[in-house]
Amino acid sequence: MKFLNHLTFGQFVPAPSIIHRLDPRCKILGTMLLLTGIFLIKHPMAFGVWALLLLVMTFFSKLPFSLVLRSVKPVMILVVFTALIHLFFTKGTPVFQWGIISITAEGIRMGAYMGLRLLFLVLFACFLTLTTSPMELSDGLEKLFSPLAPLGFPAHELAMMMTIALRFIPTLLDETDRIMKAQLARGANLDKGNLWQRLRAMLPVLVPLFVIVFQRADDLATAMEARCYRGGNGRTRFKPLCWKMRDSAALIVLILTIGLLIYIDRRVIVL
Amino acid sequence: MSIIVKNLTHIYHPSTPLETVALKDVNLRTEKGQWLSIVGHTGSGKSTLAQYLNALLVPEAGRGEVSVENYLSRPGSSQLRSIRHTVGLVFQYPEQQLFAETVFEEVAFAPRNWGVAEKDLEEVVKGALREVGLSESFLDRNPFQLSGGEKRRIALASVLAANPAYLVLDEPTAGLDATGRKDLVKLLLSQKEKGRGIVFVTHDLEIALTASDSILVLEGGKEVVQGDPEKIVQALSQNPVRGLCLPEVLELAVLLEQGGWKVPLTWNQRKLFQSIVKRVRKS
Repeated sequence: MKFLNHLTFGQFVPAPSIIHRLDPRCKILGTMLLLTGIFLIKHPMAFGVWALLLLVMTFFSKLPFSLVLRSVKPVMILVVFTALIHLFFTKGTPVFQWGIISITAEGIRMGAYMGLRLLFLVLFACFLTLTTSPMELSDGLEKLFSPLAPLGFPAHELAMMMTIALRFIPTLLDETDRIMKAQLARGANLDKGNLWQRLRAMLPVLVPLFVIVFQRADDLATAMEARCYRGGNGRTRFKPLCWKMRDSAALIVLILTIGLLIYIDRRVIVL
Repeated sequence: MSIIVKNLTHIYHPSTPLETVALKDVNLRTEKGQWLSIVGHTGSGKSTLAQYLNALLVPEAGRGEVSVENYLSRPGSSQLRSIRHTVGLVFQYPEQQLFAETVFEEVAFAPRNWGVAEKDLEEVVKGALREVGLSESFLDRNPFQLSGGEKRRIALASVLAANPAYLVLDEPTAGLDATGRKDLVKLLLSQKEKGRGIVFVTHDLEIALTASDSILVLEGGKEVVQGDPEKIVQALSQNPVRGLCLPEVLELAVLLEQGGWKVPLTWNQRKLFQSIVKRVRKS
């Protein structure tokens, strides 16, 4: 009974693969492209293409496919919920009626459609975080947003905040796990009673957690100041990002694929 | 009436790339009124083992058996709470679990959870504070404003207040100075005299050797050796375990023995000193 033991949503799993080695900017832009593609392309056949793409990418990433699938588990409820909402609340020609509940042909189509769309959105986003370390991810975002810095956009600060937040998710999960266990060992009942009682029962977990979070934040600020951190100006990197041929190649392949798909999609719709 | 662990195996993140075997076929047995130390380096699996003794971790099917005073630790069993009541677990840095506004509320948390009547609480809390050597004047104070050492005593009292038959402590000496360590060991020895079973998880071999009735040495989740302190000394002075330092006095005794001196393998400086003096006088 380890309480928070599952692979967390958005966890990075290292592997010696070409996908892992791609420049994070390439992967972020690629994911953006895929997400836009999912939104723009309406033809149902597209889902087959997305599944195929995901399979190929997973193969190259050397991660087990089951791991990629498992990463969407936490948001599965949302996917199912969205699908159901569309299933029941889309107006059209009813195929099934029972009391006030009516299911329409359009509803079935929209439900499946929205569910799958959301599912693939999450799958591709998870694939990005599975193959890119949080560090690289925020480096990549900082670089991508840096052209906006002269306009006053806090690219470095946002990236730093993101790095710190991501860095502390596993640590805080561990801390929460430990405190929950400590209170359980003292006989706490964390999962009994009504909502109010449960909230009250969480107090012995939340108070120590807050204390620890503030202490950590304080320690981190001291450590950063002790190493003369003063924002992004003139800061060099231990591992500078380096855009290689393979990044260009991967991105071009993706742009062409999705461009082609959009073109076909529009043609098919027109025909 | 005892804690029995049979062939316990624990795997973190099974069947993922992050899979790690934390415990492999571990066996142990300890009684009330006994002091068992579980000794090992960081990552030896000792903290994981400690959580099994308190049913915070429960053995999965085919991964061994844990039983406490005839309560069998099984997934979903209603006896898990009875096990937690019988075994008090003190985590590393227990002062980090403090949450209440007053020392009284903090120490009363566990006995209240275990169903001690409101009218008896004050007596129980005062008794627990006395056991850890704090006066009643602490009752109304805010635990967050106490010193580090006092906080740890409060945390310990908050576990003792539930009157557990066994006390499992995970690295309780971490962050304490030499006096603090000695005081803690003394306190635990007096708890043992009162009939509680002590399970002491540590990497400090010296404390383990001095205070234990029996010791289990773990490395990489596997048992290296188990037995009374004499046996452990024999085993470890012949085959040292990586990351576990012998007490300095014992190291000296081993060196003397290797140099042809007949001295007992002891970690007690007085004993070693006397035997050296005896030898020197003789020659």
